[in-house]
Amino acid sequence: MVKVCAALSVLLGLLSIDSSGRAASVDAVSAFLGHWEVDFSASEHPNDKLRYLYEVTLSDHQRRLAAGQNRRGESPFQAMEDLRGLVNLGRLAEQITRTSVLEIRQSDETLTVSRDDNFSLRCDLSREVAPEEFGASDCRIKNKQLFFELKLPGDVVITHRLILSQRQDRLSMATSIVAGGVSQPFTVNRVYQPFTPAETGFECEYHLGKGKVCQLGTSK
Amino acid sequence: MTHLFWVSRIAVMSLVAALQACNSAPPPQPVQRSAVPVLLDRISTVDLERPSLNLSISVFDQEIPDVTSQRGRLLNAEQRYLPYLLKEVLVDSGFWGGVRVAPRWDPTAEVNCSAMLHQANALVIDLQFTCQDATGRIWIDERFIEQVDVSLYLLDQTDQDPYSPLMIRIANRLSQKLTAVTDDARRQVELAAILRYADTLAPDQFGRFLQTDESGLLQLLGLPAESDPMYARVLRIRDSEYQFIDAIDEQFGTIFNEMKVPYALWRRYQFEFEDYNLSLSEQQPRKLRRVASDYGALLGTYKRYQDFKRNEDEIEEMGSSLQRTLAPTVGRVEGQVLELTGSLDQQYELWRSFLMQIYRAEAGLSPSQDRD
Repeated sequence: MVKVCAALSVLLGLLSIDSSGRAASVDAVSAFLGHWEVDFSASEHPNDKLRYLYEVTLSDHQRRLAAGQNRRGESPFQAMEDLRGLVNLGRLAEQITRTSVLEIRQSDETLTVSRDDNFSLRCDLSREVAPEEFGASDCRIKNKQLFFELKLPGDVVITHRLILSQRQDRLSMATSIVAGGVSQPFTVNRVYQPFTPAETGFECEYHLGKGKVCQLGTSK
Repeated sequence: MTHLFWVSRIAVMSLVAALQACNSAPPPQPVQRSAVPVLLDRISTVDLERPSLNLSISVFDQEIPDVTSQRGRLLNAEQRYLPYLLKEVLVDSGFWGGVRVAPRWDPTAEVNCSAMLHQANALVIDLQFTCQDATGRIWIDERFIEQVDVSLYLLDQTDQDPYSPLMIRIANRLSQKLTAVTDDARRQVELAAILRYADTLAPDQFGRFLQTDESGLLQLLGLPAESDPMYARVLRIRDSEYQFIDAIDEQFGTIFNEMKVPYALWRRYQFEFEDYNLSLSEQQPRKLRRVASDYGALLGTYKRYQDFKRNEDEIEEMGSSLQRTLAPTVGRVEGQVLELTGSLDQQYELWRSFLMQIYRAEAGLSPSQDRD
C-alpha cells in the first residue's frame, strides 16, 4: 500500500509540473531576487493619481446624472458614496505604498519580499491556492509576474503585482485595492531599481543563554 | 490539445483523490471542553517533605496536516514555546524538583516528557502527551484536545495564555501521578536515573547494576559503593551536564519571554479572522459590512492585518534563529575548557560526546572500549 501511494505521489508530481508549468514558473522567480530601491522619478504619486481619478469619476457621475443615464439603481447618494470610497482607497494606497526598499530572497520553497516599512510578503512556491477566507493571503506566478493577494475583512482585497522590465533592471510593484461598494480599484505603480546595500557595521551572533547579540563590526 | 488538457486534469484529480485516501486521517475525536475554569493543583505542606523528582520536557514534535513552509517556520518557534509554557505551570505547581526544557530526551532527568502536536490554532490545541520515568514506566500517554476559551482573547493575553488551561490540565494529571508514587518508589526512580546515566557513559562498568524485566522496565540489581571513584566521577560529569542543560533551558526561556506578546497577538488576530469568516458563512453576502466608505474603519482593518503579519514575521524570525548557528559556547568540565559550535542541537550533541570522551579518558578507557 505504501509503495502504491509513493508511486502515485511521484506520478502526481510529474503530472502537476507537466500540466501547470509550475516548475518553469519557479525558475522565473530567480530574476526577482536581490535588493531594490525606489526610483521616485519613474513611480506614481498616489495623491496625483487620486486627484485625477476623482475628477474623472466625478465628471462621469455628473454626466450620467444630468443625462438621466445613471446605472440601474444608482442614485446621487450612491454616486457620492462611490466617490467617498474611491478617495478612501486612495488615502489607504498612499499609506501602504511608501515602501522605499525591498529585499527579495528565496529559501527552500518560500519567496520572501521584505519591505522596509511594512510586513513581509511571502510566497510558498510549492503550492498555489487562491485565498478564499478573509485574513488569508497567497501568491501566484503568472506570465513571469508575481501576484500577492491579501483578502481583508470588510470586503477589501489588496493585490501587489511585481513585474520585471525586459532588461531586468527595473521592478514595478503595482498595488491595487479593490473594495465592495466602490466602482473601481485604486492602483499605484511604484518602480524600483537594483542596489547593493552598504554594510551596516553591525555583526550579530546568537549566543546560548543570551540570544542575539550585536556589536559594531570587527571584520573577521 | 484541449482534450489532452482535460484528460490530464482528470488524471491529476483522480490521483489527488487516491492520495487523500492514502493519507486519510483517523476519525476526529470529541473535543474536551471544561465547564469550569481549570485550577492548578499546588503542592501541600505534607508533600513538600517528600522526595521530589526532576522532570525534563523535550521540544515538542508535530504532525499537523497540510503545513505550508511558512506555517512550518512558525511551528518551529511554537514547538519550543509550548513546552516552556508547560514548564512554567509545572514550576508554579511546586511538585517537582528541577523542571527543564531540553532539545531532546534528557538522560539526566528522572522523568522525561514529550508531546506530538496534532493541531495548534486560535481555536483548538490537540496533542499527544507522554511521560516516562527513568525505569521506563509510562506515567501518561494521552491525547489532549482542548477547545480554547475564546473569551481569553478579549483580555490582556500576556496575563494568561489561551493554551494555559490545557497546560494546567496536564500539570494536574502529572501531579496526581506523582502523588500516588511512594517515597521508596521515588528514590528508586532517582537511583535508576543516576545508573541509567552512568550506563550511557560506561555500560560495562554500570550495566551490571541494571536489568530490564519482561515488561521492559529497568530493575535495580544493586548500587555502586559510595566510595567508588568511577561513580563519583559520573556524579561530577552529571553536574556538568546539568549546567549545560540549564544554559539551554535559559535560552528557551529567553525565546519564550520574547515570543509571549507577539504570539499572543498573532493568535488573537487569527481568532478574529476565523470568527469573522465564521460569521460570514451565517450571513447573506449583501449584508456584509463594507468598510470602504469609512476611512477610519478601512485604515483600522488594514492596521490590524498589518499587526497580525508583523507579529507573524517576528515569530518566524525567532523560529529560524533557533536553527541558526550559535556563537561558540565555552563550557568547563573537570578542569577542561571546551568550545562548542553549531546550532543549539549540534552544541548539545557535541557537549554530550565531549562528556563521554572526558569520562573515558579519566577512567583510562579507550574511546571504543566499553561501547555497545
